[in-house]
Formats: sequence, C-alpha cells, structure tokens
Amino acid sequence: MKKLHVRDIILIALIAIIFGFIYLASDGLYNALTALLTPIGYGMLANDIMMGIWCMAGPLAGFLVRIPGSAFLGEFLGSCVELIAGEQWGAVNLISGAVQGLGSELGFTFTSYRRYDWFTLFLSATTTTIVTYLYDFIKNGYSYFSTFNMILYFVVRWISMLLFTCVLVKLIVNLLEKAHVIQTNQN
Amino acid sequence: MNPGLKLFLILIISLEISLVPNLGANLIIIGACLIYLLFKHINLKKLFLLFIIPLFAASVVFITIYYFTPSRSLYQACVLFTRIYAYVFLGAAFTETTSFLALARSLEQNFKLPSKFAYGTLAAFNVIPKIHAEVNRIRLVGDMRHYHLSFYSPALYFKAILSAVSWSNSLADGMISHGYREDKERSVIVPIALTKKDWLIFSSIIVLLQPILFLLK
Amino acid sequence: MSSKQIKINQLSFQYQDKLIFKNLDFTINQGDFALLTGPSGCGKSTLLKLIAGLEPTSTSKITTGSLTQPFTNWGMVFQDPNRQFTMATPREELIFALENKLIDRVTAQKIIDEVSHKTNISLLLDRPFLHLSGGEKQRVALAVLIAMQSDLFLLDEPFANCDSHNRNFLLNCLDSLHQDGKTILISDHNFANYEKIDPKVFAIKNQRIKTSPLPSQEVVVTNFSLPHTNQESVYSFNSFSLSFPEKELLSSTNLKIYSGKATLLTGENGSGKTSLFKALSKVITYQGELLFKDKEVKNWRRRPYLSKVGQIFQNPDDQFLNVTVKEELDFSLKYNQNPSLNESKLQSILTKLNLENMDEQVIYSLSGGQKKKLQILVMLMAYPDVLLLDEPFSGLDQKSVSEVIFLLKNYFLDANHSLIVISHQLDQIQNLCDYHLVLKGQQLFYAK
Repeated sequence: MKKLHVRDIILIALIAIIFGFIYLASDGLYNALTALLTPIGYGMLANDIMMGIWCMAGPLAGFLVRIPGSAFLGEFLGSCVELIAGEQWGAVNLISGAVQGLGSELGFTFTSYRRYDWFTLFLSATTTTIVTYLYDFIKNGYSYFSTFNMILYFVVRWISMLLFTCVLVKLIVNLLEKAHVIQTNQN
Repeated sequence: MNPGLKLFLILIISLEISLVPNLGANLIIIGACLIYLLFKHINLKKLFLLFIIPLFAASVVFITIYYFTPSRSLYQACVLFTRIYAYVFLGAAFTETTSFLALARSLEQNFKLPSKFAYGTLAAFNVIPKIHAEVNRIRLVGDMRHYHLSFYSPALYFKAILSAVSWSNSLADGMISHGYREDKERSVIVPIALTKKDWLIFSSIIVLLQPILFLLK
Repeated sequence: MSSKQIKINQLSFQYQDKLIFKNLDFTINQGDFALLTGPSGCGKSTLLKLIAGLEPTSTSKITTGSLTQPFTNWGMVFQDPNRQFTMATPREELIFALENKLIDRVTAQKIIDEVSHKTNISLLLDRPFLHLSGGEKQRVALAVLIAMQSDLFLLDEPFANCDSHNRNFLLNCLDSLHQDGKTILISDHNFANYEKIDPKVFAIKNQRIKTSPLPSQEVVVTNFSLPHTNQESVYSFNSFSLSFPEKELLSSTNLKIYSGKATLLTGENGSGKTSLFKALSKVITYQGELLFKDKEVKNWRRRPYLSKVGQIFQNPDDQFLNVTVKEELDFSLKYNQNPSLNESKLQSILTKLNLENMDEQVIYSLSGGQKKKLQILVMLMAYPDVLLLDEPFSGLDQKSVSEVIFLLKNYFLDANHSLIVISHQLDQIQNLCDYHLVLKGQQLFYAK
C-alpha cells in the first residue's frame, strides 16, 4: 500500500498554510457579512456562506497527493497552523480541523481512491457539508433553529462547498494538470 | 505538565463541552483556566485580549439564538456564549504555556507519532513567513501586470501551489542532507518527560469533570 | 583504509523530456577539492544532487551509464539558504541533525560547542533563522555538516547570498576541512580566492563536463558618466535608510534616480540590492523619505503604484500567471499598455527571439533563456513607468543578451520610462545603461 512520505507531508502542510493565508485575506468579507446579517438574525449564516473557502485545502491535497489520508491531513494541518501560530483558538480548532478533514476524506474513500474527477469532488463537498453540519448542529446550537432555518443553513453551506471545494478546486486542479504538476499516473 | 498529554486533556474537555450544554460547567472551566493562566504569569495585555477576541463571535451567536430562534431561550444563548469563551480559554491554557516544538517532540517520544509527521510539519511551519512573502509576491506580480488576484482567482492558488511543490522538495532535500531518513531510528537529545504525576493530574481532572458536566444544574 | 572514489561513467540524464547530461565521464577521489563551473542552468545543481542521491526523482531519469558514490556520510549546502533547515534556530537544527545520527546527549553538547566555535556561530545559536543574513545561514549549514562528521561535502553555489566577509570565512573553513582529508565538491561562478586551495576544476558545457584550469576572475571595467543633477527625476531619496532586523543595510542616503534613463545598480552579494528593490516595490518599509513622482511612496496606494512600478524577477517562473506560452501572451495582450507592441509587432518579435510556434508549450518547461525573454516581453507589455530588473542576463548567452538589450531600448526606454538594473554580468551593460549606482558599505552613490 502506498504511504505518505515526508515530502508529501511537507507539501500538504505548505498547502494548508497557503490556503490559510488566502483565507485570512478574505476575513474582512466574513466580518462584514456577519455584521450585516446579525440584525436580521442571520449573523451565524456568514460562517456557512464562507465555509467552502475554509475547506479547500483538503480536497486539493487529496487530488495532489493521491494517497489515503492526504485530504484529511490537508484540513487537519490547516488547524495546526493556528496552533503553532500561537492563536488562542488553536488547540480547540484541532477538533474542527479533524471534523472537516474527515468530511473531505470520506469523498475520496467512497470512490476507493481510484476516481479523480468532478464526481469525487462533488462527493467530497457533500460529505464535508454533512459531517461539518452535524458537528455544528451540536456545537454551535443549530439544533435550536426552526426547521426552515435548519434546512436553509444546510443548503447555504452545501452551495458554498460546491462553489469553492468543487468548482474552484477543479479549476485549480485543471491548471495543475495542464502544467504537469499533477501526474495522472502518479506512482 | 507533559505537552502531549496536556493537548489531549484540552481536546477531551473541549469535545465534552461541545456535546453537553451546561452553563455552570462552562463557567467553572473558564474560571479554572483563568486561574491556571494567572498562575503561569500570563501578561495582562494578553489576558485582556482573551476577553475581547471572542466577543464578536460570541455575541453573534448569542443574538441569533436569543432573539431569532423559536424557543428564544436565555439559558441556551448563555451556554453557547460561554462555550465560545471556554474554547478560547482552554486554547490559551495550552498555547500560552507550551511550545509547538515541545509538543512535536512529546508526540514523537511519548506517543509514538512517526517522526515524519513531527518534523515534516515543523519544517513547513518554520518557513511560514517565507511562504507568506511568496503569496504576497504572487499578488504583487498580478498587480504589476494589471490584474488583481483575489481569493477566488484560480491563478493565485495555482501559482501558490507551484511554489509549495518547489519548497517542499527543497525542504525534504534539506532534511535528507542533514541525515534524516524517515524509517530510521533517531536518538533523543532533548528528552520530554512523561511522569506518573502527569497521568495523575490528567485522570483526576477528567474524573472531576464528569460530575460537573452531568450533575451540575 | 581503502580510498573511496566517486565514479561517473558514460552517464546520460534527462529531466522530463529534456536531456541535461550526455555521456558524462568523471572521477572524484577521496580527499579531492573539486570546483564545478559553468553558466547558470547548465546542470551544476543537478550533478551535485545526482551525487547526493537526491536525483533522479519521479520526473527525471538516468538513461544510460552509471554512477558509483561510496560515501554514505555526505551532506549538502544548498544555494538558497532559506530552504534547507527543518527547525527554527541553529541550535535546534544541530540537535535535529545529531539525533538523526544517533548521537547521545552528552556528546551532542560537546559537538555543538566545538562546531559553533569553528564556524563562528556561537552567538547565533538561539536566534531564529528568520533573523539571520544569507551568509550567517550558510555558516550554520556548514556547521551542521561538520557536526554530522560528513566525509563528503557538497556545496551548491553556497555563496550566492553571502557577502565577501562570510565567503572568505567559509572558504577558509573548507580549506581546513580539505586539509583534514575531507572530500569537497563545490559549484561557484566567482573564482576569487580559490588559488591557494588549488582545486580540481570541472567545467560543464553543452551537457558535457571536462577538466579545465582555474578560470581567472574577469574584471570588466565600466566607464559611465556621472549624472547632471538638473534633470528630471523619477525617484528621490532624502535621508533614506533601510534596515534588516538588527542590521543596517543602507544608511542615510540623499540622491535621485533620473527619468528616462537606465541606471545600473551593483554591489556585492548580500549588500542589500534586492532589499532596495523590495523597498521600491512597497514590499518592505524604509525610514526617511522616498519620493516617486514627487509623492512619498508610503502614501501611494498599492495598486496604482504597482501599475507604474514593475519588476523583472530573478527567477522567471515568478513572473508568469498562466500555464502555456499562448495563454501568457494572450493575457498580456489583453492588458497591454504598450502602444508600440501590438499583436502583429509581437509576432515579429517572437520570431526574432526564436519563440514562435510555442503556443501550447507549458511555460515552466521552457529553457532558462526562453523563459527570461518571454518574461521580459510580458513586462514590456505591462509597460510600467519604472521597470526594476533583477539579474536579467543570468543564464543568457551573449546573443540573447544583445536581443534583450535591443528589446528594452526599442520598446521601453523613452523620456517617461526608466530602468533600474541589478546585474553582475557587465559585458554589454554599457550598451544599455546610462548611469551606475554602487551600493557599498551601507552607502549608495553614483560611480563611473
């Protein structure tokens, strides 16, 4: 069975770091959205709208390093970045990182690490939506919402996931494949 | 306390309070972390920030739950509000007292984490400022060519990943040239202790937490 | 003890589909001090990596011949001092390397004391790498190899980011290691101070290698005129200074850079030329006053400023945003600001530069020279008011250098468009540049 080498681990960690930086650059947007939506009762929805950006490192790592565990590691190491950066949320975000990583990884697991195409990304986006939603259902109090809002939050999160972890990731992967960075017959 | 064990403790507590809504338990945890941090001489500016940073997120959750859910429960809103503070204080209790290097060494020595994970991640993390500069340089090039790259531009990610591939190859070569082989045994020059006392503290806190979480009303 | 020997026999090597070496033949004996020379991009790094066993990778392969390398205890110093350390400080890195070598705690302490004394890094041991200069980092890199008791030292252009002080210090260290019987293989393009070591010299050219005498360090004498101060300026420095954490790079400077001119900037490695470019492109901050078009650079907003001040980066890959040559050119045409470079003009230039019919080729697989020319073309179309060029001629042959100079003079330089050029290749520089700025001993001044 193929396994991760230290080179892959460094690459996945660097991708996690890079996505972290790009995510941070969109932080202003997140805060603005939250401030805008709070008065109408949808402040927490900003989290779901932006969720897809947060979860891009996993599927990308899964595509780039085609070995079981890499998608999980991509997301999980992202949360370790916050830990090493000494951010106070850091240690606790390891749990969210692991949950997101599990979601990402499942998509690849369901296709037995054989298919690397739209379908797998769609699946991974969907499993990430379900798994992270379930976690927030308990942790962030989504369970107290009205049924309508429960569905709304889920759908918004799903759309965000599809836009970022499926469409945008696929566009990036296309560029990488064209530049021969991703070897389709990787050993 | 042993860094690895401390991390597991923090994670277990965080996970438990995620699952069990209990205002009293949250407050006790915040208080205990506060005392621990003061005992460890956290500086006051940082302590002040610990109260400020989560305020925005916590308030949004409070407002949403208290004003905009069918039950409009003050208790539930308070649970979620304090839960966020509990996370941040638990996180700080770890990050303010432990270095990542000590954690990596502890995980390698005490918890049998393969060294490739410990040092592969360290190698990447130690060049974070360089990687940051690299991402900024890509943006700079975009602006110099009259094209602004944003967080939704595939080209930005594409270039950033190209540079990550090149950095990961260099760093891995660097590790090999400094004698690292991922399947070889390594000696220990800076030992991290994992004592009976560590285990005792760990288990007492876990045991103490359960009645607080499940019995305290 | 029998003597070891690195033996390369009829070796051909290719990277992706590109042939790098053809029937290479050479031998290095234990105790040799060998110097590898050759133009940038000729394969010096690749050869060192082959000897280290870091090549071939999944994208490259040895097609014929063989390589025997009996040294198991080798170590390598890389060209980019930033990319070779795992840990955050020199002490941690030494500990990491010694743990890899199964050294125990007590011995380790002794070794660390000894090597840090030898390489003069005792005061740097606990400072983060991020705060060390290029030369200091390379001293640490060498210290690590000595600590590991390597018997084969591979050094890939280790002085590319070193000032002359650190370079001489390191060369002396290597000399004494050589006298202790260590085998040393180094690549360099500066041949000063090698005489007393008397290395075996190998020149790589056109995929082959041959022994050669130590090249003499060529000295190109420049003769520029000093600028008249009553011309229009594009930048003015007033009490301007620059510092790198804990070290001053440029002390209070008062001068102007003139509009419509090409100004050459020279100074030894590590003197701060690149940092000066970073200040000019708003990447790092400075002290004092720096006016661009009579307005403080700090007060310019980033995007409008960067559309007026462009840079040609040393590594051409950094300049591109797309995948294929066609995409890159189409992108540039779409945002083209240069009236003298329209689509048909561009075609004729591409033909002249031998870059035609490469439409679908992936840029990153072009040769170094092709990339460089494409890179410059792309920035000429962006058409900033000031173009900063960081070593634009590295890896180019004489013919390509004149082509590049032709492009810059005919499609860029005019009364409103200025160049600042960092270059250590001075052969044809007087055909391009009007003035010469020197950065030396924290001073920036015009010279002949």
